[in-house]
Amino acid sequence: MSRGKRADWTAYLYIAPAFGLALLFSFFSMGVSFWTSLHQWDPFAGGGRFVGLDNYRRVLAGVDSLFWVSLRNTTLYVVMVVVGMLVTALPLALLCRRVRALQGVFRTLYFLPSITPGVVVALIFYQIFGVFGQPLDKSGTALGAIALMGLWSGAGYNMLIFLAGLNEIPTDFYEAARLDGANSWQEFWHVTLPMLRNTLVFVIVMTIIGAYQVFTSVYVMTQGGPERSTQVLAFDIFMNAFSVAGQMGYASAAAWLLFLVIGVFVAIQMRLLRSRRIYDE
Amino acid sequence: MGGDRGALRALWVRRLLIAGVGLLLLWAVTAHSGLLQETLLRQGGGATGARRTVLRVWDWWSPGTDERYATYFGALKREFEQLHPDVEVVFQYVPFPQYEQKMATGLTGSSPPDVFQSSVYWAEGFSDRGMLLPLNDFMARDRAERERRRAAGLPVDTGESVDKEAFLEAAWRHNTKPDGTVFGIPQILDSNCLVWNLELLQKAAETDPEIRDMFVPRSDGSPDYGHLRFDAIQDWAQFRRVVKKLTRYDAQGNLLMDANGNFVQAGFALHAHGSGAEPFMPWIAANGSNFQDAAGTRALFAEPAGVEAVQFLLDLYWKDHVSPPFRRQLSDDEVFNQGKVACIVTGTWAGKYIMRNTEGKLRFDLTPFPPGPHGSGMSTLTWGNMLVISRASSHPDLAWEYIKFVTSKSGALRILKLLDWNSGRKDFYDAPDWQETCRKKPYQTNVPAIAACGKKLRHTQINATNYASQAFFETLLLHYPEIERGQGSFPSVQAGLQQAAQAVDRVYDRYNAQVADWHKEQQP
Repeated sequence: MSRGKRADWTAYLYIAPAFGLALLFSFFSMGVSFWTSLHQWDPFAGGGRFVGLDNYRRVLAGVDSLFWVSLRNTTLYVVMVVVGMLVTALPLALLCRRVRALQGVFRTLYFLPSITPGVVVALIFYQIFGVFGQPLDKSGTALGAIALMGLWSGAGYNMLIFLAGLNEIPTDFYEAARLDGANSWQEFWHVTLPMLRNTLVFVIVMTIIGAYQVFTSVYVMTQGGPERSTQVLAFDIFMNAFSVAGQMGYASAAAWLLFLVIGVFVAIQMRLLRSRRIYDE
Repeated sequence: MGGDRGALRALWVRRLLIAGVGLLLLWAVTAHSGLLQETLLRQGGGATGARRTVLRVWDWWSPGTDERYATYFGALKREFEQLHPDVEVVFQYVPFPQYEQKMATGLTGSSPPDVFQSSVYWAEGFSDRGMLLPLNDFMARDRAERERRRAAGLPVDTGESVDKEAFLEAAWRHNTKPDGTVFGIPQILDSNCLVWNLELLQKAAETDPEIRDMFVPRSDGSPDYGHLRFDAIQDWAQFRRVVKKLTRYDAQGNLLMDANGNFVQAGFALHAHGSGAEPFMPWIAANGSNFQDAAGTRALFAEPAGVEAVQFLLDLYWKDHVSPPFRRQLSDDEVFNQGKVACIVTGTWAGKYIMRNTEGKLRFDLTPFPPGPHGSGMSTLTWGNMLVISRASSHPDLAWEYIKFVTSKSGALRILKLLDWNSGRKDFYDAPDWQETCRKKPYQTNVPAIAACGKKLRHTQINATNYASQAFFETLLLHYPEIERGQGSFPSVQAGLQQAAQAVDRVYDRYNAQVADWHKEQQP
């Protein structure tokens, strides 16, 4: 008993530094942000007047609020990126796994966009789009173009996650399937996909969280235009926080609503794709 | 065994080489960025070895933008520290878009600047928040000292005077509150202007007397093709006529495109994407109105003079087809620098960048805006970004010395020499350096007159008002034909502008309520 307790304390000590940092830089900041959302806050003075939930009311129903148009655009962006991610990252991982020679080179090349700074990627795509039909100039195509860039940036990272997941699948299952006469498609549908369920959930959840926070590409390439067709939540929050005097509380309220939206979507996702035991180890 | 040892040695040699190259790179980067020097100075290892007072200066001008700024700030630091050996000037470069945000962080934290450059867009707001130190006492003290010297028969260097009388009226108005409080000293002078491609104009002038008349006449009556008259364009009707003449059309009267789908030559370029109200503002000023009222409480651009200005630009694009197709761009000058556009709207600051980006191969000149039907005389918008002292400054006297050092006549000429920026000082334009600049860069010649005819740029909370109104302006510009057919988002141009004005008015309402709160907090 006492030995078990000692072991517990050691574990707590090990996680204490990381937990302390998370407490300070994540949870404390979140607390400050919530406190700010209840105030008419002036960042220059570092203080403000308490207004209760008025900032939330203004975000949701204010005459100037761009929350709903931003939420619609952001959700559309998330759908495009999640679907795009599944139809690019997973096939890339499957192809990469089959490659015998130079697999490391391919993995590195596909991963490069993930470690390239967002501003640099946005400026490069800005030039590329300028040559290929200028989709950023049209309301109907601008958001799709930004989603394409997001997809390009994130596909390599997710490919690596899928690849790791694929490598975890025991080869016995494929051998058994082949003995039963399964073709490639059946192998994928009845073995690979079910065995990748946890990886899929992880990739989808992380992509949703990341995509709901899209900002850099919009800030650099379109500033929410044309005609608010690329107006997204993080951009609206930023503009209110740092471009409009005394709107930090409003921006914080919008940030908490974004947090809520992401939470709801992730919860739904987890519920739908909740892991089931598929085989006994 | 021997082979193992050899391999081990080779491995260590490789590691040492890599480490050496890494250290060399690190040294090169830190030395180049001045980090080593700053560290040495902070440790008291500077020229004197004694502890030095640190003067923190913030600016958005940055060596990262242009290497000439590195030379400028290097010279500034060296010369100021020579005058004040016990002082160390530390520059911090803050990107323009993040300036307000960083300022908030700096002030609420413990590292506010002592002195910083402030755009006219923010200066009054900073002052309203009580962030800036009023400069009236410093100026009064210097004035008294000048009087004392005069009374004593001692020489007084007027070039060192930093006071209202030393500056052009156009420069000395964004820095003063209605109650007379001065919160900044203009460092540069800028105006919106029209930039004309002289190559295209000269070519057209060969057959067109109206365009030939735009050039300054020589003593023998022939046109000087290197320089445009200040009033080259007399009114909007003439502007429209001239830019149409400078446009190449196809048989259907549309802008002529080549086989690759690129336009051949356009008379004027208009932007629609992400510019907010900026493309309209000088035209509205030229038509006798302004973007907003003097008090910053109400947008004026939806009133008849504003509607007329916006309609004029819409007609130029959609009916006269004088502009290349709307296209998102990184900079306003990009399309002009290609040499296929005869005229764009930009500012007097743009000349140096056009020169740099075209390697001096494009000849151009600047003019103000011709008056619209409701306007009178040549016009534009003029402003002067300024140096201000933070109220939280630990060394306000030293900060004032720095401001005088930069905004005096010699300081202004240093900026001209190293950075090509123009000053708001009167004596700047009498200096031989300025005459020499105009000789080498003829496009500078009209600048003082352009600045002098400019109205005060009024744009309270520019980022917020742009954010609130940009979508309306984009819709008007991009979908005017549908609006005209009665199928657009607005029943008319005026209705669209009114909606934009309402959105801007709400920004003003919120901002002014916030200002009232600040003033209440500042009352004892």
